[in-house]
Amino acid sequence: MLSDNAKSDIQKLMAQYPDARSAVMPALHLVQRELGWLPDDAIQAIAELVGLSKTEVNGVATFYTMYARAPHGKHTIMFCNDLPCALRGSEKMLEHLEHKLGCPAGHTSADGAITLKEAECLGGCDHAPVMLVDGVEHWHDLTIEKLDEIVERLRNT
Amino acid sequence: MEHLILRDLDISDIDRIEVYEKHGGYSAFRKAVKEMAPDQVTDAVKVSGLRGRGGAGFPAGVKWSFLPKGVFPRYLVANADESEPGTFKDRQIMERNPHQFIEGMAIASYAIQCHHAFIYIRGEFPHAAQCLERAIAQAEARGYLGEKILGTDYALRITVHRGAGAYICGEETALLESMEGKLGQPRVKPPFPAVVGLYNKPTVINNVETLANVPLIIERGADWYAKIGTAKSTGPKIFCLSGHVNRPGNYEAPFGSISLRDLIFDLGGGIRGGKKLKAILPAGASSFVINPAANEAVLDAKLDFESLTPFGSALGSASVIVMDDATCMVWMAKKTSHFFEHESCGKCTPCREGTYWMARLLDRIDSGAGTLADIDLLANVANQILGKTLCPLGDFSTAPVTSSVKAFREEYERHVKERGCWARK
Repeated sequence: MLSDNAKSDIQKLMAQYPDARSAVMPALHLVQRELGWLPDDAIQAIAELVGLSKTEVNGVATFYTMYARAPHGKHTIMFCNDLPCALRGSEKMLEHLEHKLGCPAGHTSADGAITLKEAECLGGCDHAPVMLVDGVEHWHDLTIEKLDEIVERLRNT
Repeated sequence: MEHLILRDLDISDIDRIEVYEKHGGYSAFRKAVKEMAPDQVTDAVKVSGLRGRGGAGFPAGVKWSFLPKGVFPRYLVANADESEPGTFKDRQIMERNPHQFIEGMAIASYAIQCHHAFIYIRGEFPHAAQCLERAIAQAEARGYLGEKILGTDYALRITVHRGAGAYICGEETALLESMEGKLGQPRVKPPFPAVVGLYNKPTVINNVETLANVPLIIERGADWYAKIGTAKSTGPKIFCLSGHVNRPGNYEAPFGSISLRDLIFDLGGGIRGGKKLKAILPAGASSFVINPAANEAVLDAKLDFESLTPFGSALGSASVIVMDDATCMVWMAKKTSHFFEHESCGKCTPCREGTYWMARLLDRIDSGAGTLADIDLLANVANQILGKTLCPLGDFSTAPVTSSVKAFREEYERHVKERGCWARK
């Protein structure tokens, strides 16, 4: 299931720490980057490499919100709706996104293009509202127009 | 005035190591490893009065000196899990002035004789993590990290460890659990991390901003540093300003030099859209809310770790969230309660159940279905959490709730009597 590259990268990660178990979270990040989500057999493979039970690795993969244990859309939007963003209009923008994507937060649009998640504070309150796309792209000072543009772009890529 | 921490505001490309060096960068670390004994470094930080910038304000040098003698290896972990709603100072340091933070880590590591230090950075900061990786690689190439540093026998490497979405990991023992590849749930204290920390070894955990102050102390002297700020809160502080102000952002000023009025109305350009100031959360979502109308003197208290205490609040990490007069305080408490309900790690029953019930009660009152008894019940549930959990998250969750019921009780009662929220009618 895991590519040979992924396996050797995980082994390198394990060597970076005094205790190989510390490589679990970076390994989950790495596999999720490669596969898009974390299927059962990937959890099993990581457990075997790091020397833990599948249950322990699954526990970690389900405790932290950035790991996906189910397949999701081609893109993921983590939209911040905490107080500092909400003071600058995020609640209405989230409603707009839900309407535009045709699904509530926590779900994927019918065309499979975008999974919408409500994020907890993304640490960008000086440029609120903010969101994180595909775990890497930070967008800030959002407006309805800007959201529409980004969604269109994501649908077409 | 010259910025001491947010130096990127004065020198735009200070994230490049050669620019940082040109402006004195890494000379403090050079001085520490070549001219000072490790204990002398710790003593200098003690004399400087540097206190932790993560919110608790514990003296950093004292923390370092808690490590038991002769027990090795020992670890330094930089807490870069900045997740408190309203806080965004460490991100700016890591993205735009990363070397000052890395140099601070190197000096702190030398002081405690740690040879492998870690940065625990929240997963939602991919760009900051990249900036750190790049800064570490540059520092390695220049001989500031690695083996035989600057011709001495001292060796140090720094590993960036990414979290994956959990506010609780900002709590130091939950952070250690997470670093070890486990669920981010707090440990029972004592033993404290200084004695039994990462991999059960002596460990110091400091906030990013705290560590970024360390090079200043070694480079310019502890006595020079101690003169900045007030007697009890020394040095510069970054104030994160967000919410209904014209110019949100990070503002650096010495402790005790500016008031909330200066921050909001002068630096922040006042309240947006010509509205009036109604309420302030000075320490992010875990604040006791300030109602300036009840006592205007709170706006003029010069900000340090203790100056808001007489007004029933606290500065914490100085994450100042400002709200205008169109903001509903029940809604505010509902937002923070939902945050803490989501972020409770589930280990302690009072927090896990209590944050759930506070959120349900606030939903009910906000929607207009609440009763007057619900308001008292809310305070009662908060009291069932307070002081009954392993880590401060439980206590934090109650602060905006109990303080808003106290300061804005008529607003809660109005929701009951008018069957809903005045602000959304």
